[in-house]
Amino acid sequence: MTSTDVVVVGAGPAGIAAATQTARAGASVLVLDEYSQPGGQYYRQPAEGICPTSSARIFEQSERGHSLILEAKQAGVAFRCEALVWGAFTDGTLAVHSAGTSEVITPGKLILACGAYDRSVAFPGWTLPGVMTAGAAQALLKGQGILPGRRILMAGTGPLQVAVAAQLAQAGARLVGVLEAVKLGRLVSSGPRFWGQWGRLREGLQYWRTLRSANVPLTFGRTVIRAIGDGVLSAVVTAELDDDWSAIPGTEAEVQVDTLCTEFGLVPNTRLARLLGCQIVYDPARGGLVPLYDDAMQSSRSGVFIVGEAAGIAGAKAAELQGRIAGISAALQLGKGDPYQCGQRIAAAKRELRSELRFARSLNETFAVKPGILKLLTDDTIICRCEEITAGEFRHERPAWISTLDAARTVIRVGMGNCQGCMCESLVAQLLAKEAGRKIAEVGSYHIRPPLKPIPVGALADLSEKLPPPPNRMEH
Amino acid sequence: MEHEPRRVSAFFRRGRPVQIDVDGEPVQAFEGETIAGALLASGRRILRHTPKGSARGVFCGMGACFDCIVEVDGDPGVRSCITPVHQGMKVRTPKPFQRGK
Repeated sequence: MTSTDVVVVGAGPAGIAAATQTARAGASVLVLDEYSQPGGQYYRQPAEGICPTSSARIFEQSERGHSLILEAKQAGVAFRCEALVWGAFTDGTLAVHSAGTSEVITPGKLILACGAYDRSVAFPGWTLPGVMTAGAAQALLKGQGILPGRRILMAGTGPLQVAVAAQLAQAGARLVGVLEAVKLGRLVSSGPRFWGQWGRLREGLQYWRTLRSANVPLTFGRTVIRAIGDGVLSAVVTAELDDDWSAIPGTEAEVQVDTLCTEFGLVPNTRLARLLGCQIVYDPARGGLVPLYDDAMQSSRSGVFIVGEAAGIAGAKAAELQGRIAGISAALQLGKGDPYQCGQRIAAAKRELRSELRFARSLNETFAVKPGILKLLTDDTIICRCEEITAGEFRHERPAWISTLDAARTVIRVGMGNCQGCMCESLVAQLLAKEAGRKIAEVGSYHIRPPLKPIPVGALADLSEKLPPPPNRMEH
Repeated sequence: MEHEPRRVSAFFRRGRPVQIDVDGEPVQAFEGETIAGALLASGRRILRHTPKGSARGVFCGMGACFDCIVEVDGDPGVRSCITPVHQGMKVRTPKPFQRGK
């Protein structure tokens, strides 16, 4: 059994910042990350062996990430990549799978920086090869220098899709357009909420200029309603949306593309927090199901901190500030670091964080997915990609007593497959709430059990002796 | 359209060339690329078929959705979007009605 002062799960902006601060205060820190390199999605590092040959704008974040990772290592942070945290037990012990074997790690303090997933918006044909998230397209480009397709349409909502589209255009991809579901008029009227965010508006303007010089039209109030293809994507149908995001009949248009990238915002990854029993609430302005946390970014469980997108969607800057606060606080709890200086640094980070969170809330509310989009679900549209369960099966075979996500999962098997509900939880919550006439906040969440992700049975074989005794069932 | 190069040459220097075997066919790849990246770059958009027979490709690109799972050197359920290629790697893309073999 490995033990260390602080374990950080996730090596993105929040995790790196947290680890660096904790290490600087003199505690031993281990960062676990599932991917082959630290950086997460935002600071994605080009794969080993692949070198960027210029300092093009698309590498800005990777470069900053690279220097932050170096700083962390210099501060004494240990990174372990390709390490999947697949379980957590009531005493705070983590089960980790890496290099073909599992082990248990008992951290003194735990900082969860697990990031977020793309929010699934389903429409007929969304499982066709060629339909992918904007995040996937960005990962292919920034990590490997590979374009997702030759004729690409971007559809969704929010600034991220515009950024990815601009990066793709810069790399020479042919984009037929970017569709923003929110109407331009509505964006203009939310303008005052973003007063003072000049740096960000300038960044947005730069992306817009890149798109314009590449002749990529940006269309507002329109989105994809159907993907078409025999085996692979060959075209998409788009339509104008009303204020509720219902497609307006008669406005449909078909576009020939081989790739559709969708981006409808992010959903916090709270799975490990939920497994640990941290309290979760529903807050759509923070991305959906989010953990409760205190001033130190500590969850409802003492000694377990949650930072970054996993604590609510607020962007990389907020993630870094939250990471800093949690990292310093965790060290303080362990009796490391000078309390006065640490207090000053936490206070400074908090001041900056407040305005970041305010900005994030405005952004999340402005670009929130509206309920009309659910009408795109025809009876044969898949809602659970893993178990191939359709909206029709869900609507017609759902017994009336099923009104929570957990019951739906047990009986209809949504969220039972390989992804363990990562992809469908928010989608099924919306659909269930609509069908059962409840609020989304009332349908609850999927019950999380280990393993969080599939692991080989062989990896468990040598673990039985390392595990703590099973929890007392009566406690649940 | 399928066979136009998808590898960006402008800003990237490739890793060393490697050859992988995909369902018995040789596919050119470069060190550092993921299986999904290499397959996409070679024009293969279908990475597997589900038990019910529908085709799937890269979806989330970050190892969360498990849509892109393939069999690698005998191991099933490998996420091709986060698994790097290596020389001589044998990739089998799951086919409908032939699960497991």
